[in-house]
Amino acid sequence: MIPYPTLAARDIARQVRRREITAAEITEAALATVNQQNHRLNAFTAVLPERARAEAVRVDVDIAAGHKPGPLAGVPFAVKNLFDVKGLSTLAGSKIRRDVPPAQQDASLIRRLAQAGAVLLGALNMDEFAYGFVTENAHYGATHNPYDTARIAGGSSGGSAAAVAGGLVPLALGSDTNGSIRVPASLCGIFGLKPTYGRLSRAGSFPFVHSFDHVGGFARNVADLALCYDLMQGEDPSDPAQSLRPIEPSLPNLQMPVENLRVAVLGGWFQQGALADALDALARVAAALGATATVELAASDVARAAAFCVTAAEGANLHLPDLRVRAGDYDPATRSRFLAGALLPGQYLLQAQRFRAWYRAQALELLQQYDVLLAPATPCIAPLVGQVFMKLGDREIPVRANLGLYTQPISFIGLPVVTAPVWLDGAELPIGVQIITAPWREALGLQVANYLELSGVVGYRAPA
Amino acid sequence: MNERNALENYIEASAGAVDLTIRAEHLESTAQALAVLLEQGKILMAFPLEQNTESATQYSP
Repeated sequence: MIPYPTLAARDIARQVRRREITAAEITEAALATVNQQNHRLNAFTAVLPERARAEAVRVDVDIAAGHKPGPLAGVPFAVKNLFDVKGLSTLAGSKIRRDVPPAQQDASLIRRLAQAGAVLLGALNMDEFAYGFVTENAHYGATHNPYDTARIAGGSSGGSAAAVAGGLVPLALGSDTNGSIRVPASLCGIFGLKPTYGRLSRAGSFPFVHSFDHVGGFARNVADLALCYDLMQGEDPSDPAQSLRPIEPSLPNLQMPVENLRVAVLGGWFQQGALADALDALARVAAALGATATVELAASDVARAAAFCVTAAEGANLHLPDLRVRAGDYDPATRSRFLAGALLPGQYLLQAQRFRAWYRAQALELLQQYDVLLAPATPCIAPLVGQVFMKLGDREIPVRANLGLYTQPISFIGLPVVTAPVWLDGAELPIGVQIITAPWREALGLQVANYLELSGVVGYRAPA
Repeated sequence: MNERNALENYIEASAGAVDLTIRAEHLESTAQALAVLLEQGKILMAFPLEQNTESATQYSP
């Protein structure tokens, strides 16, 4: 029997290439695992057995014919349901988009992974229109945390994180506007990469906030994440916001020693209210990297406020036509924020855009002094499904809007971040740490995460 | 006029300006969400930017 739920993507591809196992056999194991586990997690909103089987056969035929099947030969993966999947309506977690015509082609990143031999298994649950940190979706239900199904997986890419952590797929794609890769990666104990704004093509993904929407990946180990990231790089004219930078692969230096790095911990806003788990995890990673300095990124509360306002206003503008005629079809949690966002003063947006230039300059100055900045990914471990408030310090605040307190300022200025999972002694749930680097230095973030993983400081643990 | 009435008046006036009608059953939750946003907006607007700070609307890190 194939130990599918714990196999790394690279191990699957290696075995398929060596014909020790077929892509068809791996696909059947993956579909069986999804069939067994998805009712517990509610990670998938669509499973595509016919497509997956056809793609797997194609990989096996290629190999039999002596062709190179690609670095992800036969590796199952799945995507947040805001990515276009040929033949499916792109839901973006909504009821409103159930009736849109099926996508005519796959999103760019899906095509790139498929060209590398990966096999798409299906689409994954999310907060409606990516507006949330909890994946408790009024239309498709809550996605549950694989370590404790009474708890949330985080969001908005909650289905992606739960599917990877729960062993349903070794790789998944998600999006991150305010923390939607980093929050669920933290709560589900896996690695997540939010690349620099403009690094990866967003073509064929349903937008939320154009000016800081990012797409990225999840994996159970750093090398898989790095491989997936490298394969997704490359210019795509169909995303006008994408940078024209050349491909900068992370794998060649992934195993290089991490030496003479200047590492600092972000204090101030990034630790305010954090619970002991978040601070202990941060301290463990900081100690392993020899970080002794704690530095402040000034006005991060303002950056968070700016991100909050821009998100509501830009999101609302995108949805204005539907808000006018069918507001009742939105998830109540999304609707109220979009309606309110449509009414914000224009001055907020102009101030936010000008503040962004100022804040980015402060961050870049700090990143000239330090190669890596560390911060908690979430202020706490996974809250319970249905939990409305959480206590941080002496304040009781809503869970849905505040799990991304420490992620929002960073995505507001587009910096690349790897989220790495920490298991504290005796802990029953994981928590993540953000490894933040200067723009375009994803490879360094992955290299640091890899060092920490090999040192046993961070890493994935299979759920019992 | 209390704060909630002021919010609801604001909603009515500004919704019309963007050709939006907020249904009665959505008014309460919209007012709550708007109150949170306005609180964040106050934090943002209180930040003393220099007049020569240019906008980063066309964003490229």
